[in-house]
Amino acid sequence: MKLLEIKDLKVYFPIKDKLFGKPEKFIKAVDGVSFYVEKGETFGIVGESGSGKSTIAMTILGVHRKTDGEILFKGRVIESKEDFKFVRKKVQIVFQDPEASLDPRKKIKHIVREGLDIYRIGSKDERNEKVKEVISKVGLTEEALDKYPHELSGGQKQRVGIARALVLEPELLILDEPTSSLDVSVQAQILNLLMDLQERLSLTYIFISHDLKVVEHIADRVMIMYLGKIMEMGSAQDILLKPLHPYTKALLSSVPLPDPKRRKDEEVFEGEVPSPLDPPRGCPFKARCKYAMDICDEPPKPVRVNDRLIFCHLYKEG
Amino acid sequence: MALLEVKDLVVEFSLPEGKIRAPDGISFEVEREEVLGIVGESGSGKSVTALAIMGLVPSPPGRVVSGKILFEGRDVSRSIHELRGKEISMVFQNPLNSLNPSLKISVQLMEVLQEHLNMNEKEAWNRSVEVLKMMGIPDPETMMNRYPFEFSGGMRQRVMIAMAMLCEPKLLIADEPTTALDVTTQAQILKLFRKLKESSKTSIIFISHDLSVIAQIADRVMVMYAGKIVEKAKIDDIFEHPFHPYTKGLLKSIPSFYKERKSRFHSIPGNVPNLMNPPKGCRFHPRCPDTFELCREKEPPFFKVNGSYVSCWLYRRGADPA
Repeated sequence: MKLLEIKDLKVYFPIKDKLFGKPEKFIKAVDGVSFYVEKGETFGIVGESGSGKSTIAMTILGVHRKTDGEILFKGRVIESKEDFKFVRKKVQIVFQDPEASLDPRKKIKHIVREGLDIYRIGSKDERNEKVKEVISKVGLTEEALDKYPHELSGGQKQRVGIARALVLEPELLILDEPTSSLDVSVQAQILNLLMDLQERLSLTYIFISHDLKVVEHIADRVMIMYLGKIMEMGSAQDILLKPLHPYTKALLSSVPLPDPKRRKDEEVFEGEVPSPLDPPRGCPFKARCKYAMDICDEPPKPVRVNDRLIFCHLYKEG
Repeated sequence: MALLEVKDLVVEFSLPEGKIRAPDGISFEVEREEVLGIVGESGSGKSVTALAIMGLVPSPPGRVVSGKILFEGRDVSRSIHELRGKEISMVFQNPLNSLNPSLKISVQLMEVLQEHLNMNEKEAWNRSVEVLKMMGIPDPETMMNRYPFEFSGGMRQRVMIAMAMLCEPKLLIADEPTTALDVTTQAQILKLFRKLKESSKTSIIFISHDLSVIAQIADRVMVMYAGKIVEKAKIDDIFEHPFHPYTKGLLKSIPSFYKERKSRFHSIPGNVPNLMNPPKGCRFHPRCPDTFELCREKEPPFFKVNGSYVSCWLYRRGADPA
């Protein structure tokens, strides 16, 4: 069952050049993206900064307004304020930096309970009971409830971030770089916790990350993005272990390996992400692509190859 | 003689809640033309070590309470004002915080040369352009007239490295120089550091929390935990035969491709200790899988094991005390 479906989503941010009149320039943060998320799976979104991965998350939650396209959650078209209210209860998000996303002046119990208070779920006692239940689910003790965020370590804070997201019993959890600001040893603890929770509570995840190794391990399907567009989409292992799109290949060759014997200068991929203000016509990656051809000035149509979707002129159907 | 010698360095921070010592009595050397990697988690004291060498420990609350830092045999505490920027320079994690937003790149680069090498404007301009070019910045003459905000993150970091390399320092300290960058840019900057290593005589201290990044650049590694050095080894040795249980744990925690899908990651149980009240004996003992009596009581000295130096009681027999 498709829990979430995104059809041809466009999110443009206007740049105000002039004091009056309509904006003429736009940053095309998300430019015609379609995908779905199956119930119970982990859907990975991978891309460098500016690729639009977080913008998609924020648009699903109604923080950014979509310019065009369609969002369907549990088959319901999400359009009005009421629709987004429905979404925000069922879809929760865990942010990258727990330091910045927890109110420093609130005790942990208030931070975790806030969602229940806002939606007026249960009596006061029931809410407090629920808070205790989720806090133990994320591996913290009840002692943590009376503390303030600054009294906790980075990993513990991220556990609170997860508890806050779980308290409303969401069906879809958006994890936006949930371990990027954590140390390696703690990162492993949090990723394990997320895998455990998914099994126990049959959750669906959208896992946004730039760490390809983690995505390969944890995601079922993955979408590789570049400058607001999809490059390649399909099974996470297929794509990250056998990449076909030149961009995916470049990304993978850039991952530093924990092996001092493999320092490969010749494989280093040069160039920079162009400004999203004036993206090149056609394939956004062509300026850096070593296989670029004349036809790349035309936007590539999605091609299905071995069960994956590739947006690249190098590949033909079949 | 080593280029840099750090002996028993202790930096103390006096906070309202109490005192923290990190680093707490560390000693190491940096040889000429080598890249020393320092790896550790947040709070291990790796950045403070760098700041102490540069004479930049924020005071208050910080203070170097004891220890010696010798650069070419001379105590840096007296001469750091002459050395900083000329003989020893530093690159920070976030270039946007370290560049002046309201001055053109040219002003910021040329100032260094005019100050330290008494160059005139023309010489300083030419040298700045030359170094920017060396750092792989396209069209350096035009770029000289730009402001920091006009550069991308990767280009800004290249400018920072250029600035640090202007006077051809003998020692360059890079504190997490690629952490704020995207993977493709990170790979480019690492390649640039490797190029510097080949083409200049500069020694580099490269600090990172990421062992994979260290693997890409360092000749030797020093692993820090809770203010102490736990292991010092050659880069190949640390990946082939790690000795300290903490190093082993760190290496196992690195995610990698081709593992069984959704199998659980190896993690080090527990959290980094609160340094206000560090554990007695070995600081890693509460999280260590191999703890025994002695670990809880006495701090381990360094033992020499197959060319590596390990601060762990497991190696007390069959190893030479170092």
